Amino acid sequence: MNRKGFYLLVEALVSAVMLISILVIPVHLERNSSRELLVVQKANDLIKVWVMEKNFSKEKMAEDFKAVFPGMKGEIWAGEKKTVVEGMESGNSISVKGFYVIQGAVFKEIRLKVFY
Amino acid sequence: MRKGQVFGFDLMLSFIVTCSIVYLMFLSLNQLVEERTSLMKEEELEQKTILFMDSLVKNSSAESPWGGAAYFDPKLKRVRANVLSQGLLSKISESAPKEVKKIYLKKGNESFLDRKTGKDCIGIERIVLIRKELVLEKNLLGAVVCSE
Repeated sequence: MNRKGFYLLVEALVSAVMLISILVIPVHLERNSSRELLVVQKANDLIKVWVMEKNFSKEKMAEDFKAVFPGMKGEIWAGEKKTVVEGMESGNSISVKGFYVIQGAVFKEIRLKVFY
Repeated sequence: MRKGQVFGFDLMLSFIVTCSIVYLMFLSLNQLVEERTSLMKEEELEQKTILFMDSLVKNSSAESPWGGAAYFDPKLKRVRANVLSQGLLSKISESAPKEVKKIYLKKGNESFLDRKTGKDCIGIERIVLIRKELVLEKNLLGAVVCSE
């Protein structure tokens, strides 16, 4: 084996490997999205509006949810009633809750879970 | 081939490879900086739009209603968040910041501000109750904010 040729080949290979590694380094930029904040704000809006309206019918709440979060999945608990709004499945979810008072000064919880 | 020529050729090759690597590193760095700048601009616009909408829905200002159009309840002596005054919304005019292009109510297609949209725009809709005289009407309040 020609020793000089071998050294030159090794050197050339190292250079090629370095060049290729620089070219294929994956650059991933994370976006600091404010999406979560917006979802929380919108979910709080819904709770406030429902409590002010004092209308906790399943259909109305599902309709409002679909208008605010089009295509998203959600779960609504108003008192003992649970409503599921079918939509896009997602691993991320945000839950917000509020309270309302019914006759006899009884506090009821209203909770909304949004899959975004 | 002579020994000197081989080493000369090897040196030249190494020099070219080193220069290419340095050049590619700068190119990659430049691309990274450009992408980051573009992302930062998007994030800034998104935050600006979210804050603008939140202010519009939660604050009340008779002088500059684009900064807050919530209804001030004189009986409770406080601003009612998410209950918007139709009167204040109607006063939103061209005095609004130039980045704000549109403010509208989805149901009924009522528009309070309608400017020509520029590039890079973000639109947000929030559910609110509109106080028209003594009646509360549920609607979606939308705003479009552009970078220019």
